[in-house]
Amino acid sequence: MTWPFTITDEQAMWRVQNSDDHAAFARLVERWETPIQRLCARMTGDLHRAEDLAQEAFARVFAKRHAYEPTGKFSTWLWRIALNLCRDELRRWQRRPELALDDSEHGEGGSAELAGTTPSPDQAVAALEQAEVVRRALLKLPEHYRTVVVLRHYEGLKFGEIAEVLGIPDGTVKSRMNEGLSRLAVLLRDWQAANG
Amino acid sequence: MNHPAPETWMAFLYAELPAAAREDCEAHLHVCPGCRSSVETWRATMTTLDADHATLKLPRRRPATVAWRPVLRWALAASVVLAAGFLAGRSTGPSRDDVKREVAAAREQITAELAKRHETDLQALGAATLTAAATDNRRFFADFTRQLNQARSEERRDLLGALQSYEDRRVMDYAELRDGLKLLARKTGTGFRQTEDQLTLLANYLPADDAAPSSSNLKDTPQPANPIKIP
Repeated sequence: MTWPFTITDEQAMWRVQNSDDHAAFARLVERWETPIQRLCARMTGDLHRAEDLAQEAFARVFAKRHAYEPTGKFSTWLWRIALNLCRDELRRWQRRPELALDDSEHGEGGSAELAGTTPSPDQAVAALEQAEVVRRALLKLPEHYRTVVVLRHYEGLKFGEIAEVLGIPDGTVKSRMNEGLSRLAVLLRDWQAANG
Repeated sequence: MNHPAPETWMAFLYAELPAAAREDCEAHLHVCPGCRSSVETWRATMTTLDADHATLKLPRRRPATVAWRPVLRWALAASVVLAAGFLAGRSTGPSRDDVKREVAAAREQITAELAKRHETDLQALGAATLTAAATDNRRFFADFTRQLNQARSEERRDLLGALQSYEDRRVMDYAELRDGLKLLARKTGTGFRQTEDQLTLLANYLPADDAAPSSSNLKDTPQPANPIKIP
């Protein structure tokens, strides 16, 4: 089904909630699949698992459609669901270390999916290497700092929106962002020093 | 010197500060080397983080055709087996008359089986109908009995109520009667006493001669059966 006008996420979710409108749900998936997949990828460091987690997040959205409160923003609810799935996944890895990907293996798997956009092969390799370093540094951050950094820096959420998603005060979000950036600065210092 | 809080610097770096506060922060950076150094470090880190921004490529969604490949492979294998079976059957099968005879026999057998099954089904249906009817009847009688008992109970309750009210009325009437009799007895006693007093008074008024009638008079006067004795 196509609509002659653009409907908001909340309107689409209302249709899903009240009439199981599959077209509206497909619209939501189309809009949000990539951001959610990106979030999961950065939170878990596993691009393929991120794809599964994103699908799981949308499955959960549909399953819990009647629990959605129309007074809130749909995106806030969706981010929260995706983050909970990521946390569960990370916890599962912590409980069963054999499931956690080895750093080297992880790195190879990840770099296979990283594509350079720079014209020169040398520059492309350098960019991939830098991205790899950043990705590893991010994964070394405690999860609550990583969440804030990913949502603010990569997904562009305002601090207030992040506070709403996480259910914590605005000041705490900024404080975590500050701590996250400071820790990343230390983790990346060596790489920055080596590459000028 | 008042340094902006780290939280304020975060809002500054991500352009979430109002214009006035932003200008204050920028002015502070010009005069405070410590804060300038921190902000430069954070900015450099943010620039480095952008490297992952530019190069992250999410895996493409797995095409739907991939899932059909095994199915198509199995379908092809099945069609090859079926074709081989058909060709083998054509070359080694029985003659046309044999086939006709077998078909006729099979038809008779199927007809007989169907008739038998039909009969069985009918019997089962009849039994089920009878069972259902019996169940309905039992339920109907149970309902009827229950309603009858209920009506009887109500009737008995009404009768007992009526008897009770009759008994109450009887007791009340008896009490009234007793009170009346008592009153009557009291009044009768009072009447007797008054009559007695009057007779005494009358006797005192009469002279002694007049009071004692002569024997001749007494003879003429009829005597009462029970003369009243005056004390």
